[in-house]
Amino acid sequence: MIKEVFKRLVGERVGRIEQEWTFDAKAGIMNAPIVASLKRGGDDKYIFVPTKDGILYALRPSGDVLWSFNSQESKDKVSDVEMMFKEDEIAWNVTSPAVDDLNDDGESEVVFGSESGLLFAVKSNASLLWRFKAGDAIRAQPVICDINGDGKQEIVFGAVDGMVYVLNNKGKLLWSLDAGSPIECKAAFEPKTGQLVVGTDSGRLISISPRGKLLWQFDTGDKITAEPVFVDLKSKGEQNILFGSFDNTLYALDVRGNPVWAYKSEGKICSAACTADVNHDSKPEVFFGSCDNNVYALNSEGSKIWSFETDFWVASSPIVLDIDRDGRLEVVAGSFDHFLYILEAEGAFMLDYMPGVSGVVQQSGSYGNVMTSEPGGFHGKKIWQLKTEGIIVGLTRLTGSKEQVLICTANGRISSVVHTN
Amino acid sequence: MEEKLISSKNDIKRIRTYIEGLDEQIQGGVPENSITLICGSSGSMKSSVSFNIAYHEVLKGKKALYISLEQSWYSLLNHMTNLDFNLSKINLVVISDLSEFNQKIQKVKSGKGGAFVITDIGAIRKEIKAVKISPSSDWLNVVKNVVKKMKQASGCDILIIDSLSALYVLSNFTHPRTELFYIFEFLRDLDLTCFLVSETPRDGSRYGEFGVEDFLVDGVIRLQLVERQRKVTREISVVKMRATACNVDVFSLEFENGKFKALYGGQPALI
Repeated sequence: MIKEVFKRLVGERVGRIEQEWTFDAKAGIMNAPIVASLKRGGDDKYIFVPTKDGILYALRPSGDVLWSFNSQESKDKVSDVEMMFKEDEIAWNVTSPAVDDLNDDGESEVVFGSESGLLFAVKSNASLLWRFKAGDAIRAQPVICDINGDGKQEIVFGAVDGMVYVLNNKGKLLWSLDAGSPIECKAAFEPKTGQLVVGTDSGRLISISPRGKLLWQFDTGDKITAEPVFVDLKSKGEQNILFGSFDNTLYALDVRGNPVWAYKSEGKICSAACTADVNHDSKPEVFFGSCDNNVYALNSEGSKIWSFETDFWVASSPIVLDIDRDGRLEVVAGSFDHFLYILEAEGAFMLDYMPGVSGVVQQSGSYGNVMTSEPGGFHGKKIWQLKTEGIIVGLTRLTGSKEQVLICTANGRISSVVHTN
Repeated sequence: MEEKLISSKNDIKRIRTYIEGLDEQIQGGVPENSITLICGSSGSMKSSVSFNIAYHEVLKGKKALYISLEQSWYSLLNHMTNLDFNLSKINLVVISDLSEFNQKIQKVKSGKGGAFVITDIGAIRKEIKAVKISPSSDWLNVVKNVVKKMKQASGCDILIIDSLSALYVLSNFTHPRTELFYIFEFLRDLDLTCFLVSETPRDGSRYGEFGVEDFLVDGVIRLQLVERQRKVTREISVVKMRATACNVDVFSLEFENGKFKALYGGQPALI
């Protein structure tokens, strides 16, 4: 007790991170779960979990199953011969869903793709609304948005056949665009301009107009699976596009496709960056994971603030939240090393030397550079870490009476983690 | 497959090669559930040696799957008939149409005793040519699915893939060592004894297309055509066999009266 009071006095974090519940999907999971309401604008929150065996689960915030939808029941829509060409283990894998009210009935629909090439729209009671068959596997989460400003929702998704598809809310094709390379990346939509951007396996980020016209393209050195993110990096009302590539680089572009900055890590960047203004300078900081085992924090100019090294790849997106609700933000990242890390979002300043002492003592006669340089720098600082039951493939935030972090491991477990005092 | 440690060498079960004079040199045969490369140049009887093993095991009640990637099933069977294999003695099932796959496998399942299943991928390719298959479709997946589904549905003890070289052509390997590692691990997990036919150059400079196959497999049986004074003889040697005390000498390989024989002294004296 005295220790905790002291910790509070010196600004140290108190309490611990605990697992609340675990859900076992009994099948592998490749894509992160998402949290959404089953009513338009509703406060009810459900967790949607896609699995490798083709089942999409809707869970209550307590981890109980609300319903499940088995996409394999649509086997008759795909020929046996076609399925023989699929990798058996993932032949029915389903994507993370997009959840929104498609048909203006106040209830949300759940739209997700499948390795079989089928896109499913499922009602809030788990009954099938419609299906659409793409030319090949769908590996990227679809997006529900009003792309053409007609007041109705459309569904946008890319597929491994290299096409970007736009469907109306009844599942009919409005237009498609050949991107020339398989797409495994979720598209990003900018509602003000109607601009769509999506990455391809050939490493190209393409921008598409609301009518399906190619606007511009930007080439990186390798595959793009990380969802691009629209963000106003300079807080001047101008959007930038932030995305990572398998060429190890996180890129910031303007909306015309011109490079603003690039930050090169030492490993592939597989998932989206997230942004938040953690140091209250009115500019967002950028956080992302890399297969060089690090979680990175960059400033809005693309310079590193800190990095934190885990023991294996960080292939999922970090999330920024105030998990202990003490008014300070934390960065939560999951690693293939089986651990969940909760880090100080601002990092921790550490002195590299003692100004005026170390410089004189250690570098007598040539201390000019040292004396004029920064006396230290920010480093990633771990607050808590938690061992999970497998390699972490996705994290999701569930906000309610308390902040929950949902950890998704490749072996099919979803665990809810909370902060307790 | 659950990997287990053995407590004695007698715990290792073996599959005979049915080559007289060779099995004795390798403790009775190749270890069960191992992967063996049968490599050689064209005409060295790789397919026949592989077929011979599977044929005799099927006669003993086992189930064998022979995946032919290039040679048609009727060409293969005509060749084997010409070599005096009595095909009427075995339950022979030919799959040359993927849409009949499940039905044929059920036939194997319901039949008693052994079965020799030949999957003619060449014929399937010809049939599929007219059907629109998605761009990401991979023939390697077809091969893997055929093996896995047969194993699950009706059991499979012996697998022969003829040939690895043809599989490479069908599946565009970008990182061969990594991809081969995963293929071999897939085969190991299925708990069956695999013979992979590999075409090699006549000079025998390597055992597989990518030069890494011999490191990844458990055993290598090498077949050679050797020309001496305008006379060509076939030779066989066991280059490597894990968990086996093997004689790595080169033997002459002869086929007479429907039987393979490995003979010492087939090579003339050096001087």
